[in-house]
Amino acid sequence: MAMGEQDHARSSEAASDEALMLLYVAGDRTAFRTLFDRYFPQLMRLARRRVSSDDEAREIVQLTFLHMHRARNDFRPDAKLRPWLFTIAMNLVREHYRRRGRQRETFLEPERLPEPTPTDDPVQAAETAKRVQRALELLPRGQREVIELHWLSGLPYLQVAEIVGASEAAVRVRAHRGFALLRQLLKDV
Amino acid sequence: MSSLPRPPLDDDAELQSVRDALRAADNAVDVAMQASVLASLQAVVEREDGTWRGALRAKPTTLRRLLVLAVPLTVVAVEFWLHASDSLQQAPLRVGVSLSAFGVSMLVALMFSLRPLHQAPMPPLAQSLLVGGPIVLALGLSLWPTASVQATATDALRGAIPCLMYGLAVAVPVYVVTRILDRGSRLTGLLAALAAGLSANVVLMTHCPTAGPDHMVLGHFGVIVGLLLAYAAWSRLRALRNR
Repeated sequence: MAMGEQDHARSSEAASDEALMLLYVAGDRTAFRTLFDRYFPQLMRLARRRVSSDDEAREIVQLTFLHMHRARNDFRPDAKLRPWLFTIAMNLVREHYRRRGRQRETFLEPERLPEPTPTDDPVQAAETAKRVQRALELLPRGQREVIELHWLSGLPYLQVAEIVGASEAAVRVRAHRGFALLRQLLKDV
Repeated sequence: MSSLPRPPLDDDAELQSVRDALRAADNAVDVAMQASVLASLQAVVEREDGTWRGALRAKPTTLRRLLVLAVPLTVVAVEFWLHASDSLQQAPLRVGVSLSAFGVSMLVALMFSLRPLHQAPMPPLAQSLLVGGPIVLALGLSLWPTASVQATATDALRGAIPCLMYGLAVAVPVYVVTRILDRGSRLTGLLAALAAGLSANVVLMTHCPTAGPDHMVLGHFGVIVGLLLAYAAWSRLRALRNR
């Protein structure tokens, strides 16, 4: 790699998401690569939690980036990229469920789940993760989305509100109810 | 912000430890898979960027909406110039109300048919109203009672076929242009079919002087039904093929 390209790559890695997106809209392919590397793991984790297989998650993530590419000229300089990208991903997850006819809108009765315990053991951690995942799947869709986006993906409530199309207050209420229910499910009520 | 409820997660050590376990299990994202997704994505993007459809789909949404509106508005303008005065003179109230209702429904359906995926989802009720509302409205307007009476059902059917054909000839190009500009999603395809059917009804209102409910339901509303059924059949076939 030439010196100039190395400098360019380094400055790309340090740039904000929005600056990279604007570079990408202007035709800089390196910026797309940096954004892909930054967001692929986050989106893959989000998709994996929502669909049943890695292949389906992979398809959703690939489509998310494809839609980002198609919609790049809609990106406003004052917008934030992260909620923009997560909105695409969440919309694709919803479409995926509708296509498969597996969308669960109704609340299921809590089932008995063993209480998870914190641990350093990776095997036990994986077991705990499975239990939490099962508990999350029992939450009503609106509460689950908010908890996954805020609690697990680390998005602020304001951005979560933008992604799910609700007010920040409504999102906080959903989170409040969702956590109460999640705790109840995890405590084997 | 202080009046908003504070969800109990941020200070909850127990929930935080559970989250850490979940994140630890999540963290293993396969590097080989990441590289393979990037390669396949770059191939798709390269292929798409080399086509005129790819270039059109990448245009800003405002421009795509203006382009898609241009087709029905051009046909309507020509029809209005040629025929509107006849229809309006015969039944000004019915034609005026119908044209306004169909026109507004068509505009709304066309706007939403190109709604990009980076916008927050519409609530399910709003989606149902967006699709169901114009269908009920179009059926209601088709059943508007008039003095015109068809002699027999056969006459009504015979009279309706030219309108059905003409309506489809207007609707299909509108549908095709909308789909070319559409970036692809489930609801937008359905709305494109509905918008095309409504565009045809706007044109038929200015073009056709026959006003009997039998004729209106078969020849005018039938265009919307035909397009929606064709779209449903095509979607079903595609789903079966993908399975």
